[in-house]
Amino acid sequence: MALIEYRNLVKRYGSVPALDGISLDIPAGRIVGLLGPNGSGKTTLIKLTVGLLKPTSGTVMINGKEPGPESKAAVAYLPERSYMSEWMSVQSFVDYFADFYRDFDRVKANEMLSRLGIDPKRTLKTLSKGTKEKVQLVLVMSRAAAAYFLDEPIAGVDPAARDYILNTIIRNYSENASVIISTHLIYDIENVLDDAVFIRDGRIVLADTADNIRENTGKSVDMLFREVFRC
Amino acid sequence: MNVADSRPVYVQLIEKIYTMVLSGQYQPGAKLPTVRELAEQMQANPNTVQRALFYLEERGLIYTQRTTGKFITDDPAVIESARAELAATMTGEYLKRMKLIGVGREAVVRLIGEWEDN
Repeated sequence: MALIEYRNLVKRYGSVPALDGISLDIPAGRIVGLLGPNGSGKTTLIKLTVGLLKPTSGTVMINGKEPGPESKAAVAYLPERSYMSEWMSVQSFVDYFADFYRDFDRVKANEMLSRLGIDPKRTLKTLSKGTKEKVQLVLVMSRAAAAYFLDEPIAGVDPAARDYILNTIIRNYSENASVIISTHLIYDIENVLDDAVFIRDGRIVLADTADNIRENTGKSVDMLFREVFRC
Repeated sequence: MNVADSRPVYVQLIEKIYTMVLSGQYQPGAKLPTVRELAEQMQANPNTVQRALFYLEERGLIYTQRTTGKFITDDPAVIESARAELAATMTGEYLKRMKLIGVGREAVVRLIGEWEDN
């Protein structure tokens, strides 16, 4: 049994199909890139996995269970947009996460924040966009989850923040957990990936290991992506 | 690692570690960082790093000491054969590029003979 299993997953918004029959297995211990242009269905797929949306048809299984309280306790999620209240302090967010998630490691979170030189007493509204992104990533990666879903974690941050984010993902790597990163900025993350999943118009057009893609096509994942999605 | 290099990343990692050993950045017998540390240093996937290390271990360039980690071999013969192998690969690549721009073998030999380090 794979850690995450999608079977014929379909999601329509009214009559508009966002996902059109996704079947995919994600085993444990992988770093997976969910790659597609804007509007291809990446965020919809993630929201279905974390239980924020219900499928029109088909199934999502996390450790053999449909999304629900049990799966939510095992899945860490970094949304595309911030849901953090600006008036709250970094410390109160750490407390909030510690209350909410049994697998949250407060010591680890505080260590990461202090390494970043972030004063926990500061409120969110006093932090830059890049620092906010880092705080959210620290909170999510301080959980001992079975799967981490990071929706566009590197969009709009400077190269130093991007390096920090990638290094945090590498440093927290565990063979028991998988990290799924959605992005269209493939060049920046490609070397961190085990697997690449190309998604277009709600369908998977390619799913393979990054090494296989390079070996079989003689192209980097980024080059292949640009070819497949050429406008 | 260089994303623009379209070879598999583990192949690039193998070459990079070879180079670090042959240039003396890692001395014979030296302890290697952990997989995670190497992955972070090279900003590469930990499983890919593991795959590269597995290859190097099969070739005898590194060995695992069960409790203390991975080390560079201190066998000079293994290091010399690694040097010969990498030199042959790099020479092949160089000659292929020369051929592509229409420079034949004799011209290459002459160029190398005339080349002065600066």
